[in-house]
Amino acid sequence: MAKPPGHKPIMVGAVLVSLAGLALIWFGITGMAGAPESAPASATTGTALPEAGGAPALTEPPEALVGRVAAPMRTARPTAVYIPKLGVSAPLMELGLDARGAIENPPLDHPNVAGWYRYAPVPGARGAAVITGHLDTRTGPAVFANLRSIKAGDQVQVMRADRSVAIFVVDRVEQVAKSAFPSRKVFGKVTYAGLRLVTCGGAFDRKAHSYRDNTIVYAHLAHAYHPGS
Amino acid sequence: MALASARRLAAAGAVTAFIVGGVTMAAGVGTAMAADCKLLVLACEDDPVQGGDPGDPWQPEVRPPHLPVPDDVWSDVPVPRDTWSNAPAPQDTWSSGPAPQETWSSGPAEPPRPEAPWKPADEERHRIPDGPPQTGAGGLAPADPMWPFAAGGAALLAGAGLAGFAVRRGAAERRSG
Repeated sequence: MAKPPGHKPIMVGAVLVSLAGLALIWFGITGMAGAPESAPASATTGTALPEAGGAPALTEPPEALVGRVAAPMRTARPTAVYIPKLGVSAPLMELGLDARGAIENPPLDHPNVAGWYRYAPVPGARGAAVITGHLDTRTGPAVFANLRSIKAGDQVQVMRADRSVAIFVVDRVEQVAKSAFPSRKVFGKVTYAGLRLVTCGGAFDRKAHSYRDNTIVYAHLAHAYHPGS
Repeated sequence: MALASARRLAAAGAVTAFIVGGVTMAAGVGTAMAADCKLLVLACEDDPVQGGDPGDPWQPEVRPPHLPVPDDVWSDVPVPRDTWSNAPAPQDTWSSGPAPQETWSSGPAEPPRPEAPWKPADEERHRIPDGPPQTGAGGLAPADPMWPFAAGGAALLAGAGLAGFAVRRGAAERRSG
């Protein structure tokens, strides 16, 4: 019959197990337990957002616009943004700057409202227009909850007060850390009529009450739709 | 001797304190009565007295309103003088009479201010905001995982149990050998 192990190996095992327990608790406290990236595309369903029923009827199929670049449009106040691929249909409000010089945000209690940055070119005009919208509220998805799933070639339509529609085609989508937010790339001058859609992304930092990343969609004006044209 | 003096002094202090307290309380009661008659239990002169001696012939002057008591409206007798039925309505002065002149609106009315036409921000006013947009509130973020705490706690318990077992075994080994 084998001799049972002495007390020393058991004590060593006890110390190791206790250390492992302490490490696990520390792991949970520091939030390094592999906090997965928020996956708004899979966490939300399209039914939470209104259908793009109000989208203007366009004469050309979406594929026809890929690769085209339209001349800049006259300035007109943007009123709504439509992203047919995502089912986004949202009114637009003006966004200025807050006291700290940061861009204002659309109100959280109106989750389906997006905003366009007023101290940048108007969507459709020459330059980089910027539209931001919330990824989520405290309780559920918001207007740009699925923005990360948009792809190059998809359309973004901006309806304007003169009843014209600026039709943008997505060039690329990127996710960047907020600490390295490319302000000049997003807000800087460009020679064409461009559009940037910005929302939050990445993991949520509960201490800072903020997402760690931003999702940025870069698009260019591919077609200027005027009623009756 | 000294003890007797201390007793006398204490008695004199107590009497003084009693007198001062009584005077202060009386002054406070008087002030409060002057401020509000109904503050205290004491009644003011112009208040009707409720209750009192049942043998007292004085009665408060009660003037019930001289309104006719209507008959019971739920029976089949006619309701006396109901003005809301087929009796002619009194002349309402607010309908047929001329509207009173409102002095605050008789002045020259300002024309409605036309809404300023929308204008985009001039290019000189374009500026790059400081910092990234904060466009999320965490409603879609998954909750913090709890399993590390559960597993860590279980491991600590297991470690403590193993340590206790090892100590007992060590003691047993020392006894046997």
